[in-house]
Amino acid sequence: MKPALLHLRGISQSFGSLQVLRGIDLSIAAGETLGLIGPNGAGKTSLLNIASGFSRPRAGRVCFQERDITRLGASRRARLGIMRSFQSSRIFPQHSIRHNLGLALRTVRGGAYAWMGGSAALRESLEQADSLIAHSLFRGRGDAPAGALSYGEQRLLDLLISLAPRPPLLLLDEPTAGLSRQEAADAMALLRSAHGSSTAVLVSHDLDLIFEYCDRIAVLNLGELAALGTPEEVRRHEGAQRAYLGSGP
Amino acid sequence: MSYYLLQALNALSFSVLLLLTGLGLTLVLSLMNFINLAHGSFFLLGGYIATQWLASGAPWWLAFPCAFVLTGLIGLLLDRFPFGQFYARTHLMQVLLTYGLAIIFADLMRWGFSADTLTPPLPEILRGGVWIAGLPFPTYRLLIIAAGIALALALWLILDRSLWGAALRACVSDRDIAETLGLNARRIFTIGMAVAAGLSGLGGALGAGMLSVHPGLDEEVLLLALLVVVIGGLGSVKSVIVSALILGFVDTFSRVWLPSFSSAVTLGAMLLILVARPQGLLQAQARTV
Amino acid sequence: MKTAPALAHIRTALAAAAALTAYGALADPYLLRLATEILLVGTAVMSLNLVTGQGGLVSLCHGSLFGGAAYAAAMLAQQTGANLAATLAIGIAAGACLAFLVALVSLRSNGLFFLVVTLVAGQLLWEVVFHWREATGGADGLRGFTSAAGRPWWSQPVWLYAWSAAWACASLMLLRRYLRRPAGIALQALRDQPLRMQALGYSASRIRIGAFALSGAIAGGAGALYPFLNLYISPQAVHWSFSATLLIMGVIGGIKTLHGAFAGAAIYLLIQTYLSSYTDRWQLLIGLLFVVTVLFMPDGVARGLRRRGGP
Repeated sequence: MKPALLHLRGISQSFGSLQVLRGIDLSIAAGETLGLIGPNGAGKTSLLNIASGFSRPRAGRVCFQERDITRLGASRRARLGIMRSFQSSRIFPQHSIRHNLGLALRTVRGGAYAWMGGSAALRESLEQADSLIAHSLFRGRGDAPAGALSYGEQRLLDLLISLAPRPPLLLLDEPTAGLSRQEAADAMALLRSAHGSSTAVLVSHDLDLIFEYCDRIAVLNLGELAALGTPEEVRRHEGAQRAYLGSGP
Repeated sequence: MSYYLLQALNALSFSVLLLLTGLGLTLVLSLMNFINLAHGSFFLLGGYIATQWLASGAPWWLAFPCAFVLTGLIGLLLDRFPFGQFYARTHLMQVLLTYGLAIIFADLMRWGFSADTLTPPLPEILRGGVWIAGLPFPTYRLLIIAAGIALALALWLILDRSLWGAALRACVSDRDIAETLGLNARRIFTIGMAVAAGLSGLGGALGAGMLSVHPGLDEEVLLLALLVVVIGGLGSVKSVIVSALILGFVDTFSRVWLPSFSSAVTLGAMLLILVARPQGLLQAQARTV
Repeated sequence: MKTAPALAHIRTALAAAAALTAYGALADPYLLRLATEILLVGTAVMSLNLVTGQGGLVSLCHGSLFGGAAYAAAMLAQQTGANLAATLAIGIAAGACLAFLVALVSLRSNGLFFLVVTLVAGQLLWEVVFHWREATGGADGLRGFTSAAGRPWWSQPVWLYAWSAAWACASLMLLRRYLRRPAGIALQALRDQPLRMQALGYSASRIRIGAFALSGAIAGGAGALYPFLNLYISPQAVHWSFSATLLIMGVIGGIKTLHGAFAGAAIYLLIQTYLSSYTDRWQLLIGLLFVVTVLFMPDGVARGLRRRGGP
């Protein structure tokens, strides 16, 4: 059994009197793809926020690569290798595709803050962006402004930006939301091609996608872990069914 | 010891003035996300109105409601034009618009009321002082403190216990949802702006007997009001009360202990608070992503 | 081989240099002083445009950065005589240090809170300048602070104009280069997508501090020359109302541009000079200028920085 890359222990979260997460324990092994599903309001995005450092939990610890990172902020965790994406595409519309990617690449390649000696770092990051583009569906369109892309293409660019620095851990919040079947397949293909070096947590409402691509699935309901296991186990699990369909007759 | 008690009362009366003007500013900010740098002008205008009223021989106690109503009316007109169009604009644009208006108002007031420092003639009953712990304390300032307590209670009642208060709090929370419930957000904004201006004017009217009115007071008060809003954090009356008290006490006692550099000390202390708590002391936690 | 846009830039630069030189050769001292003021204040506005237009942070402390550097230069001149290199050096250092301090205290602040922190920080400096009579002259300011050696050669109207123009041009080129390099790109990206930048691992603190320090250095260099315009510096140059004035100049010229800063400064200063000699109520009209600008001309007069798929 591979060691846990990310370990969430006893995570609780509340906003005022609204309890959003109750005592969540979750481990993600290196190299696996974990799907995180559950009805709206279950706490999926809150859990992602806590794992990525965008919010502090009321209680509990977050450990990454055997190291307690609970007190670290989001950008610090990103530098350690935790890459989070958001429900809406956050790209830079007035920049070209290659500049969007170059921006992401400079955080790992260096030169992110370069000024006086910066033209070399700029050039290198753009060259690397070009090679990324050449192997993607944006081939030949590197200079197009990102704002001119369709919604689906922007989502794909957003995903590509997250993947570009080759982060050890990906936390993807509804990566295929609003995408057509074809675009969703493209997105997963993109993810698959980087998967070898990446561990991923996928939050999604697209159950077909989750069941097809994930090694394990965690079902969240009303802030608690209703089920955790392989796709087959979860498919048969009563708690999971109840979470989505309600307690039936 | 009694000297410090008296200074504490001084601080309290100053805090009431800060509370009144700070409430208006935070109301407008929380409700419409509107930064109003002309807010100090309402305070100054209220002061001039009270000064004129008290000098005219009319019943003295009407000076304060009069100031409230008149400045409130101006707030209402400003909401119609040009503030209303700017609620949706960026803060930069709001800052420049309201700052420009503040300059215009300051000059108009200087023109209309002269550049001299004016002190309103207080009615007999409010002149002189009372003996507290063996030292004299101006009766007028007791009035301010009493007015402040009464107002805080009234506000709490209105906001917490009345439908109108609930409507206001709903709009502050989430304008769009409130509108789906049938609330006319635009009208609530107008009322909010008018009440905010009126509160500041009332503060100025009450303050006239304590601070006197002079050109430049608007700018001083604006800075203080901004501090009150920001130190406490946005979104609640309680936070304004807390920060008004803090600022009032720090300002008063720094004048007592370090008279020549008191303002610098006050500003420095406030800056330290903001460094420690960038969102204010009582900022509610909310989901940001 | 130079591309067409680069050639156009070189042509513009040469034309500007020629115009500046011609003006310097032909104008009389009064006009030279006016132009010098426009150049110096315009440089301060340009430094503000970096932080506010490119960085998205509305700052009300830049007047204090400029004025603080001015006082530092004036006080140095009083002590040791006015050496041009030393004056510029202390101005740049003072501006950068003050800006660095402001950046530190405002690191975690945004929006209104940032505005108030910068306002308070700047006013804190004003309080010190206003009340520390022995060092700064208090409300009276500093006057005639050149030493017994008399007025330095470089503060003669023509030379001060020349040095101010040189500093303005150097600053403009420096800032343009900054914005085309990773540091400047990161600043703009932070303005546009702060959450995304955090998620990518960028340190917002580092970006802000860098931008502020650069902004302060540029404003400080201009501020250092400012007292030599009239051999006088007053606390008004450190007051937050001056910072607000810089903001409106920035907006008049186009807050998202760099060169627009000079247009904005020129328009404002010319109107102010004309109005104050024409009527007593000139302040009211200045206020009107603010209002009219945001109502009818919020994007300013100069064109925004062009984007052709990346800077």
